[in-house]
Order: sequence, then structure tokens, then C-alpha cells
Amino acid sequence: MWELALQLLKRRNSIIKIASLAVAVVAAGSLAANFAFSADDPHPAAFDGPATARDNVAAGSGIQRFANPKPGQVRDLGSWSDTGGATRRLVLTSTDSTLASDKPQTCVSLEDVNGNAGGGCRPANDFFADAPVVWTSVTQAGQDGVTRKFFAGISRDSVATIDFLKSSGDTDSVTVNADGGFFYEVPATDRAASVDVVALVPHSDTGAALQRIATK
Amino acid sequence: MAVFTPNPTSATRDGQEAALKLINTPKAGARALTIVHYRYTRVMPIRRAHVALAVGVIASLAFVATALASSTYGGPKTWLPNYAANDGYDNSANRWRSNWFQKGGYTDPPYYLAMVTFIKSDGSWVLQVEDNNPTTYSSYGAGVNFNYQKKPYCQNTSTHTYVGACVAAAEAP
Repeated sequence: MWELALQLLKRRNSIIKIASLAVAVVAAGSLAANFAFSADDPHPAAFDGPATARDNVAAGSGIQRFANPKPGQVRDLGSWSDTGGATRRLVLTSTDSTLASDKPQTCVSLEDVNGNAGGGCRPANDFFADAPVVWTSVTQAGQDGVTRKFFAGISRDSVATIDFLKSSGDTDSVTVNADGGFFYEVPATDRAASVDVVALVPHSDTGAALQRIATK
Repeated sequence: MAVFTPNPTSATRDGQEAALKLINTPKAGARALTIVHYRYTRVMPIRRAHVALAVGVIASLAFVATALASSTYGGPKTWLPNYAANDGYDNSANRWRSNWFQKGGYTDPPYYLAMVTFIKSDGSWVLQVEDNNPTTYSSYGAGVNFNYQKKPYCQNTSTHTYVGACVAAAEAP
């Protein structure tokens, strides 16, 4: 009787040991996954390096007026020409100001050559909290009455290309630049046909779709 | 600022379910703000969300460095889908120059769509910006002629209800 009880106890101890080992393995895997996630730039990698001469905003510009970044808190993410020949510049700014949050903010803005700017701000430390792409869209009415619409933003390092899914069912794709910046202009033919972008789908360099981000 | 319940108790979960029911009714937004975040749902009482947002709005007024006059023209309040607000047209002494929608009731995902723009007296829209960031803004640049009549406008362009405030800043042209 005692021997049987002892055997059962030993077997139970073995089961506990195996279960403990399994829990430890799962915990280690979870930690590794978390480390991998945190290593994948929870904040924009553009801020990792020092600022260069191009990383500035003009005094009195819309970005300076709104976000008021200090020296070193600006990163130029690239410039593109729209179909009208005007230059559009993508700018990332960080600020110690907190807006409605108790966290410092990072803003991504699209500005024209006159410094008119529009964009969005997020908590700096959770910038990519819900998606690998942070985007904004700017609709600009030109002096000639022509309206243009742009999508621009910044992505995590893991993003190589971004598909723009349109309400027509068609898709356009753009390549993310070395700083993670991207720019897309809604074609005039789409605008005329009331076709708009309904979602962004970032892809990794292996072509894997990472997420569907609704824009409508 | 805002205090959330990271691990909801059963009482909180009951509250969440009640809030979810409320938020799915026409007057839902006036009662509770529901925030879905990864593995659990957080509920912030709407009054607390409004207080947090009001503090944020005050803080953000200092955020706009050179604004001479700021006006919170929409909220802080609960915005149902497609709800919009605008301030009055400006005058030659002070012209609207910056405009932003501050979704301050929540600072954690998910974030929802909002739009800001200026509407000229002829009805046309300029500097229209739309995105799903906690703060969405547009602002005239340096040396730009912004000395024409216009008013700031903002809208919840999402299909969700959230707390937020719209603020605009004016300057002498």
C-alpha cells in the first residue's frame, strides 16, 4: 500500500516537473518574442541617428507653428514631386509637449514648399502601437482649382512596400524609402471618378502582407 | 492623467458590457467611452475622459508656440460618427491659422479617423487633413497668404464614437 502511494507520488512529481519545464519553455519563448517585438522599432528608427543639415523646419512654417520642435527633434523623411510639379516634403518631429497625453508626442507631417503642413501626432513611445504604418492624408486645393490628395507617412523597418487598396477594387503599390517614408498621390482619374483609397496594406520584403489598415 | 483598469474585475466587466450596450444605442456616446486594446476592453467613465481631455486641451494650447489666440470650438465632448463642428468666420484683425482635432479621451489604440480643414467664405475647403492619429492637424506656413475669410471645421469621419475636442488658433495677418 505504501509502495503504491510512493510510486504515485513519484509519478506526480514527474508530471509536475514536466509541466514546470513546459511552462518555462513557453515563458522563454514569450520573452524572446517580446524582445523581438521591442527590437523592431516601437519608435521610428529615423530618430536613432544624429540629425543632419536637412533635418530642420523653417521658422514660421506650419510644422514649427504647430509642433514647435527643438533642434535635434526633426527628421526629413524625403521629398516627392506631385503630378503638378510641386514638391511635397515628409517630416517627422518629436516634442516634449504632451498634447492630450501624458506621453511625449511624435508627429508625421506633409508640407508644401510654402510650409503649409498637415499631419498627425502619436505618443512617441507607442508610435507603432497598433500598426506598422503611421499615415496621414492631405487634400490640397490648388490656385487653379485642381484638388490633389496625398497619402504619406512612415513605417517600421519591417515594411518594404505598401499597397493602396482603392474603392474601385484596383491596387497601387509604393516602395518605402530608406528612412521608412512613403508618399502616394491619388490619381486624377480616380479623383474624377470618386475613387478613393480605402485601406493600406504594408508588405514585408518577402512580400508577406502585415496588416490591413482602413483609411475609410 | 487618465486612470484605466488594466485587469478588469468582474464588476468592471459588467460595466463594460453595459457600456458596450449603451455605446451601441443612439445616445451611447453620452454615457461611456469604450476602448478596445489588444486582449481586453478598457472602459473610461465619460466624465473622467472629459476631465482628462480638458486638461489636455489646456496643455495643447501651450503646444502651439506662436498662436496668439486659441479657441476650443468643438467639445470636449463625445463625438458620434460623422459629428462635426466649426467655429465662426475670422476677421481681418485675426485670421485662423492652425486647426487640430485632439482625440484626448484615449491615448492608447485603437485610434479612429478624424478630419480637419478650413472652409473659405465661398464654401471651398483648404488644408484638409484626415488620418487616424490621436491628434490630426493642419497649419498654414510662413509667408503664405492666409489673410482671407475662413473658418475651422472638424469632423469624426470614423464609424466609431469617441471623446475629443477641436481647437483652432488665430493670428494677426
